[in-house]
Amino acid sequence: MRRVAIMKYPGTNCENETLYAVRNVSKLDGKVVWHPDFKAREWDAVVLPGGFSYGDYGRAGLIASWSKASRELLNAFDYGLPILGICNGFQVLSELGILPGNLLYNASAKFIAKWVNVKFHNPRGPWLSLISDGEVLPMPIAHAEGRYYIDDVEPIIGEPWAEYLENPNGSIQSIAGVSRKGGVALGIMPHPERATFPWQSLKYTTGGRRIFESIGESLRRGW
Amino acid sequence: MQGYKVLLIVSYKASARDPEGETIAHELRSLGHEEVVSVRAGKAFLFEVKAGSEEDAIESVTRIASETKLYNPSVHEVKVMRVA
Amino acid sequence: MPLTSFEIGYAQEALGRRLTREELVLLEAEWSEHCSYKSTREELKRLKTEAPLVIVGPGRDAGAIKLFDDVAIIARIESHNHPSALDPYNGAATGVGGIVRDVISLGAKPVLLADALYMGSGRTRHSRWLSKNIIRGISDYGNRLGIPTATGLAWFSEAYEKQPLINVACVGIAKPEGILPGSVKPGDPIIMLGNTTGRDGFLGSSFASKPLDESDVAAIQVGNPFIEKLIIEALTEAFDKKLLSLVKDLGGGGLGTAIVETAAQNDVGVVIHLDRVHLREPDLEPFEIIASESQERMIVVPRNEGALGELFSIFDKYGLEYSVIGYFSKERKVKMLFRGLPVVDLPVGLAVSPPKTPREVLGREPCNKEAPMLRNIDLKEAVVKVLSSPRVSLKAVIYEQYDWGVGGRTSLPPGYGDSAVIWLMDNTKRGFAVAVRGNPGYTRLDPFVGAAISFAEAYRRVASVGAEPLAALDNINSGNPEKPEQHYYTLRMIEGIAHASQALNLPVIGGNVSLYNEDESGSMIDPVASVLVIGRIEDVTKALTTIPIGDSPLVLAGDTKTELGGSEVQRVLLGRGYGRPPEFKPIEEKRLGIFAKEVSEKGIANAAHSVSLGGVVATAFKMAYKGGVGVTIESTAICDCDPVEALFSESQARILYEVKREKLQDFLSLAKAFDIKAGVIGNTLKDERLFRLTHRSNKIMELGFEDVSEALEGLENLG
Repeated sequence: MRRVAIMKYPGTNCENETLYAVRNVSKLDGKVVWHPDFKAREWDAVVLPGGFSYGDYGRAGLIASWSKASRELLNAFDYGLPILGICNGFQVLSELGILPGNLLYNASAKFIAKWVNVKFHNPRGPWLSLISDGEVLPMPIAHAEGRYYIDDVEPIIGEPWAEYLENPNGSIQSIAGVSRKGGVALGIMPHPERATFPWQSLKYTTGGRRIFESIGESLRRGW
Repeated sequence: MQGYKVLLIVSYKASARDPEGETIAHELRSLGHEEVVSVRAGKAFLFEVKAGSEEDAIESVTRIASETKLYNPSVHEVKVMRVA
Repeated sequence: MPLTSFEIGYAQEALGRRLTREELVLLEAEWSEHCSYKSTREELKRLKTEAPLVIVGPGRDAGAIKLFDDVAIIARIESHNHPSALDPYNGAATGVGGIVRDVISLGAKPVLLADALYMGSGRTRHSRWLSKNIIRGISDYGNRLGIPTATGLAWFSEAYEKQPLINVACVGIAKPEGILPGSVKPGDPIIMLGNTTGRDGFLGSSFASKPLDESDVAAIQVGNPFIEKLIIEALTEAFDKKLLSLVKDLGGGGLGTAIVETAAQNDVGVVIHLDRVHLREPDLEPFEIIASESQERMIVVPRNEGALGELFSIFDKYGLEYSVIGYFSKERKVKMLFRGLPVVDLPVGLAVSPPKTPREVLGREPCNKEAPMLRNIDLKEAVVKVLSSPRVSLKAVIYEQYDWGVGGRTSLPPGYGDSAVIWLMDNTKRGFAVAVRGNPGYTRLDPFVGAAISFAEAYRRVASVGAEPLAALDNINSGNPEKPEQHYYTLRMIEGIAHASQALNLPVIGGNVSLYNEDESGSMIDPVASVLVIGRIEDVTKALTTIPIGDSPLVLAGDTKTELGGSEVQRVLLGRGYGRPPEFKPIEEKRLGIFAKEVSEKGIANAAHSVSLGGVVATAFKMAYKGGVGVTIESTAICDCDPVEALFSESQARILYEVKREKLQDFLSLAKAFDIKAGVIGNTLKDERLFRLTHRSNKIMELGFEDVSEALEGLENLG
C-alpha cells in the first residue's frame, strides 16, 4: 500500500483527524512522523497538517521552518513528491518558499473559525484530480494568520488554486489555497479533514472528502 | 505644533514570563546560536502625533496608551521613544 | 488569606512547637478556602455522587464515568474569577490550562472545552476590555492546545462590570482500564515536570479566597500553551506505554498542596528536596518553592522504577524540563528539606484537616418584590428588545474565535445545536453531548430554585439533541462566606444542585465553589451556579440541530404557565427581575428527556431547541433566523392566557420542535404516549422570510428578516 507521512512538529494539532481521513477515505497507509525523523524517500506523499507549530511564536510556521525536516521537504519538492500543507502546514510551506506568497494576520485581527465555501480553479495534480474546474466545496477554516498576500497574483492563478466565495480574512483575490508544479505541492487554509464525514457537521456536506479521495486514487494509479 | 513619530513598545514585565520570547530564544540556541542569552517579545505601535515638543509627544502617547488600556499596567511594561 | 491566629494556635498546639515559615505557607495554602472548601464542605456532602456508571467521583483532579463499556469520560469544571478581573487575558487563559491539566491527570485525552462566562454589560469601556480579553485568552490558549471549545454560555450584566466570572470545563476520553489509579506507595519517586518554578503566581490560591485589591497584581501569571501542549503530548505517549501510576496538576496552592493531598489520599508520607526543583530564579527561597503557582507544572509518579528511563526519554523528545524531587515514605509525615536542612515536618493528617470554621448564615429567604404587570405593552418593542439583549442574541462573535472543530470530532458545533455533540472518531458513530447552563437572573431571586434550573436546563439541552444524560458537574460562584447574608446564597445553591441531582437521578462527578466574589464596596456579584451535563449518544448522525428547514409545523412539547419571574422580558423592560423564578419540574424534565431521545432516534423532527431565555418567541425566532426561513406563531396555542405571558414565559421542561410535516401525527401520538402536552403552535415558512405573531388568528406583530437580523447580530461590537 502507498504510504503517506503526516508531519508532526511540536504544537501540531490536526495529525489524528488527518491520519483518520488518509486511512479511511484515501485508503492509504498513513503514519504520523516526528519532524526530525522525516526522510522524504520513505514516503509516497506527505501532509503537513494544521495546528500551532511552536505556538505560532514569532510568526505562524516560522520556527517549524527551521526544522531538520525542511531540507528533506525542499529536496522532495524538487523531485516531485506530492506535498499538501493544511492551515499551519500551508504556513510552514510558505515560510520555506516551497509555496509562493505569505500568510498575514487576518484583516479582523482575530482568530476565525467558521464554515466557508471554497471554489477550486484549474484543479490538477495528485491532490485535486477528482475535483472539477470551478467546483465549490464547503469546509471550515480556523486560523489567525490566513490573509494571503503576494505582490503579483498572475503566476498563482495560472496554477491550480482555491478561492473563498466570501472572503473571510482579507486575502488578496480571496485566495484560500495555492500550488506549484501543477498542483503537486498544494497549500490550503481550509481544513478538508474536518469536512470528510457527513457527521463532522450535520448541516454541511463533505467538501474535504474529495481531496482525500483524489490522493488515494492518484497514488494507486501510480502518481 | 509639529508632527512627531513616537514608538510605543509593549512587553511583559521582567517579573512575568514571556512564552514567545522564551521559545524563540530556546529554538535559536538549539540551532547553534549559543550567543543568544534571552529574547523578549512584544508589540510595537508607531504613532504619529501632533505636539508642541518631543516631551509632549511622548507624554501624550504614554497617557493615551494607559487610558485606553492599549497595555495592561498589571502585567505589561512600556517603552516610549521618539523615532523621527 | 493569612491563617487566623486561631488556626495558627490550633496547629502549634497539635505540634507542641512553633510553625516554621515554610509550614505556615504550606498550611495557609492547604487550609485556604480554595483548597479545603472549609465553608462548604459539609453541604457538598448532600450531592448525589454515586451511580453504577461512576468510575471516579468528586475528590480527585477530575471525575470519570463509563460512557460505553470500552470508553470512559473524564471531566472537570473550575472557575478562574479572581485572576481574570485583573488580567483578563492571562486569567482566562491559565484557567483553561489548569482545567486541562486536571483532566489529563486521570490519564485522559482532552477532547472538549466548554466555558460559562458572566461578563459586564458591554456599555462601559472597562467591561468591554474585560470581555474582549477573556475571550481572546480562552481562544489563544485553547486553540493552541488543539482542544475544541465547542459549547458554552455568555451572560452579560452590570453585576459583572468589574468582577467577571469565568467557569471553564474540560472533557476527556480514555479507555476505562486506562484511567490512572492515582495510587502511590512508599518508595515511589516523585518527578516534577514542565515549566520552571518561579515567583510568578505566588500564593494565588489564597488570593482566590479573599476579596481583590490592587496590591494582588504580583500574583499574575502568563500562560504558556505551547509547554502545556508538549506536556499533553508527552503524557499521552507515557499513558499509551503504561509508564505512570499518578499524575497531578500543580494548581492552587502549588507544590505543597499537590504533595500533601496525594500523600493524604494514599495514606503515605512524603519527603521532598526543595533544592532539586528546577527553578526560574536561582535565588528562590524554600517557602516560595512550596507555594509558587507557576503554570504548566505537574507531578508524575512512574509505575515502577524501570519506567524511569523510558519516561525521561519521552520528556527529552518533547524538550520538557523535569526533576526528581523526592519520594513517598512510610511515615505519614510531610517532610521538606532545603539544602539538607528540614524546613517542613508536619503530620499529613494535620495538614489536611483545618479546624472547623463556623459560618453564620442568614436563615430566611430574601424577600422579592412582585413584578409590575407586563400587559398592554408594545409587543414589537418587547420582542426586539428581548432578541437584541446580549444574553439572547447570537454568540458567533465569541465562538468563531474558538477553534470549535479541531480534532475533527465536532458533530454539532456551537450555534447549531442545544449542546455540543462530539463524535468518538473510532470507526463507529458513537459520541457524547455536553451542555453548560447557568442563569444568574434566577439564582439572584432564588438561589435554590435557580441552581436546580441550571441543572435542568443543561440536562434538557443534552436530551434535546437526542442524547441520554449521564452525569453532571457544578460550579458555584458566590460571595463572601464571612458575611451571613451572602453565604446564604452559597449554601442554598449547593442545596439546589443537591436536590436536582437527586430528583433527576444524575450523579455529580465533580465541582468547584468560588467564594469572595464581591466588588470593592463589599457587595456581591449576582451569584450563579453553572452546571455542565454530559450525555451519551449512540449515533451522532441522528443528533438534532436547532436549524429548521422551513414549511413545517412547529410543535411545543411541554406545558406553559404564566411564569415571568426573573425572565428576560422583565429584565429588558423593567431593568431587573422580580418575583420568583419558574418552577423546577424534575418529573416532567425526565419524561421529556426520554421522549426527546425517541424523537431523535425515530427521525420525526427536523430541529429541536430547548425553550429558555426569552421564552417561545425568542426560541422560535432564533431557530427560524438561523435556518434562513420565516415563522408564524399563534399565541393561544402556547397558552390560553395573555399573549405577553404566553410568548415570554420561561416555564421549564419545554422543547420546541420543527416536526417533519408527514410525521406530525406520529410525533403527537408519541407525546401523548409519554403524557407530554404537545401541540402545533405555528409553522416555519419557506418563501416568506417574515416573523409573525398572531392572537386568535389576528396578527399582533410582524418583523422582517432585516429587523430580526439587526437584533440578533447585535453582539458584533462586543468581541
